[in-house]
Amino acid sequence: MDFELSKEHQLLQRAVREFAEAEIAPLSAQIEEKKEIPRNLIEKMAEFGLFGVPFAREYGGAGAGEMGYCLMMEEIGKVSSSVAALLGAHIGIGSMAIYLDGTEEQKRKYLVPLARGEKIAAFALTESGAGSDAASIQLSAVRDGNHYVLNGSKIWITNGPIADVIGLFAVTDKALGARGGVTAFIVEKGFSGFSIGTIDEKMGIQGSSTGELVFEDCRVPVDNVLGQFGAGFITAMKALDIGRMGLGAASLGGAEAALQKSLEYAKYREQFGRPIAHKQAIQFMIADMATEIEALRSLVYRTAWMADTGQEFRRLADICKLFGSEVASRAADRAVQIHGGMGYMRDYFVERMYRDARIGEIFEGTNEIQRIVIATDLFRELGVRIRP
Amino acid sequence: MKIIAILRERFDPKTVRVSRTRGTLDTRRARKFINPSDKNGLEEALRLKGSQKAKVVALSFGPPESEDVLREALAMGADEAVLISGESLDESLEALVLSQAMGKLGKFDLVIIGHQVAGYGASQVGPRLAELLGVPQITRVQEVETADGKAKAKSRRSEGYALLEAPLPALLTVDGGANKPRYPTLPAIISAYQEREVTTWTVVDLGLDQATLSERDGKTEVRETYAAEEREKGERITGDAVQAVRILLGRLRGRGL
Repeated sequence: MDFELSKEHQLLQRAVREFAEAEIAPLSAQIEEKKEIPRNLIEKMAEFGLFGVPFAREYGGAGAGEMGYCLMMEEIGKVSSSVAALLGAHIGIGSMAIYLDGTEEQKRKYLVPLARGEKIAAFALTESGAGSDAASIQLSAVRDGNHYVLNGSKIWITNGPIADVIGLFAVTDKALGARGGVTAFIVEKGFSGFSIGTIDEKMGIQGSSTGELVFEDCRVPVDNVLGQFGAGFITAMKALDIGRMGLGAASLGGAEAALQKSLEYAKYREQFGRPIAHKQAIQFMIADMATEIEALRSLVYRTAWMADTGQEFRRLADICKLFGSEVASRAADRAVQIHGGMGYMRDYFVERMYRDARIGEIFEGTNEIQRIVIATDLFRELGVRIRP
Repeated sequence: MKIIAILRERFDPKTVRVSRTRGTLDTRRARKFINPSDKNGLEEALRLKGSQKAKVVALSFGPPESEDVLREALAMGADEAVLISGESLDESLEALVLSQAMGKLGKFDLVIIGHQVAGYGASQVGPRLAELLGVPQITRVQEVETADGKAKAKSRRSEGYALLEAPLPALLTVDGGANKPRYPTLPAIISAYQEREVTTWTVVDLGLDQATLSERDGKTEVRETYAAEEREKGERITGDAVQAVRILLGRLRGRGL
């Protein structure tokens, strides 16, 4: 057993940390206020190679594997949940669907510019009537010659309003449902019949762009079917495995930042004539945060290692997402408490962190769904089939 | 044009604890990195490469682990990397080893090295190396350009700068903080470890003898080490002149001046 990161991963971790601290952290207040990630920051991130970390270099990526992806998400998660959400939706699910199931031509055409950060990806599954119950999607795709004609809409799509390329899931056979009736498509923002609907106002991750995607007789070439016809649900689940692991990694970074801010504040803030670091009430919160962070770090790194070594990691990815998002929320909550009145003030780092952390328990599958999936998988090993 | 950028692996001062009572450094939990002014030197070399046709060779002398600084240099954009693997020596012998390596590397136009090393702040290797190579040197360089077979550099003085020229080949020592070193891109980092080569030589390959070097080592006598006094932070007063003068007067009066 070897817990040492490879030399290249150590350098990648340090480089991303330096980049995040120097280039992203100073803009985090501006990102929050303007509710967008500045274009020139996205260009710098692209040049640095952030948009294609896990993908092979032949497709424009860094070739750093899932471990590299998780280390990157952790460092970005420390400074900006909005940028982490952009990268998570872009890499972990949007581009990942093409990387996992795209044809060689689709990878050349779409994945290469996505991995280089020249284009932005989104992953569109959720609909107004289908969230946790993803198999109930309604958006339909009907064949018409060399095209499919899409009708319906997707909501709350991270990166949706800014995406150039969308991994979209549509019903191609209602009777078959999730088992053979859902097909994945690659949609370009310029396709006729595609438009952006409502752009959402959110509780947190203000810089992340979220919105509705509307399809009215949108014509998608048959060449843009992603993966096997009818097997879209499998593609979605495979991409979400990576997405959830990355979400756990970003949560790890968020929790670490909450701890760091709390340590600094407790060292400086004096009450009753001494820094509050000397109060056990504070120490206990600090120790609990550190304990959960170390457990999460081991979990995330091990999951990434299993993914990189070709082992089955789905259940662990779900656990990363479930545990990670809750560790991050608890850490943010404790950080607010340690900061007292300061922690409640708008535009202070921990106040933002508290609002940002909340989404982790909801997107890419609610934590309730994660618990059901984890338990279902455990019971399956005992021959018990859990029904929703 | 061929530029040799010399890189030294040192402890990151932020991770080194200073014992104020003994004036010594505790490096037990310290992490290593490229000596900052050497990294500024490499950045200067890479900028020259960006503005004209040049090949940048990163050169390091140190234990086998020093290979990491060379991998980082490759990731930043160096064309070649050479490690002289050997035990650390004092500055005069380090300069000797490097000068021998330079002989083996062949004709060069510029040698760039950091002005000081992090930690004890030693700054003799550059000037000694220039002497051994018999080339002109410009120290404490902030910026450099080359044209018509000459290096033109802005060299720092205690007050202001001097603009100096030297015919090539020449050696430059670059000041820490002279520039903002570029980030190695993430694909280049992975490639630097998985695809690129670092040539390794030993002192024997350079026609030197480790035993003789060790015997001659340690001739530098350390008279005293002490922790630098902490200086009071300066204050920059900004704004328009009238306002700035008013603030300044207020500060001076406040100190009873």
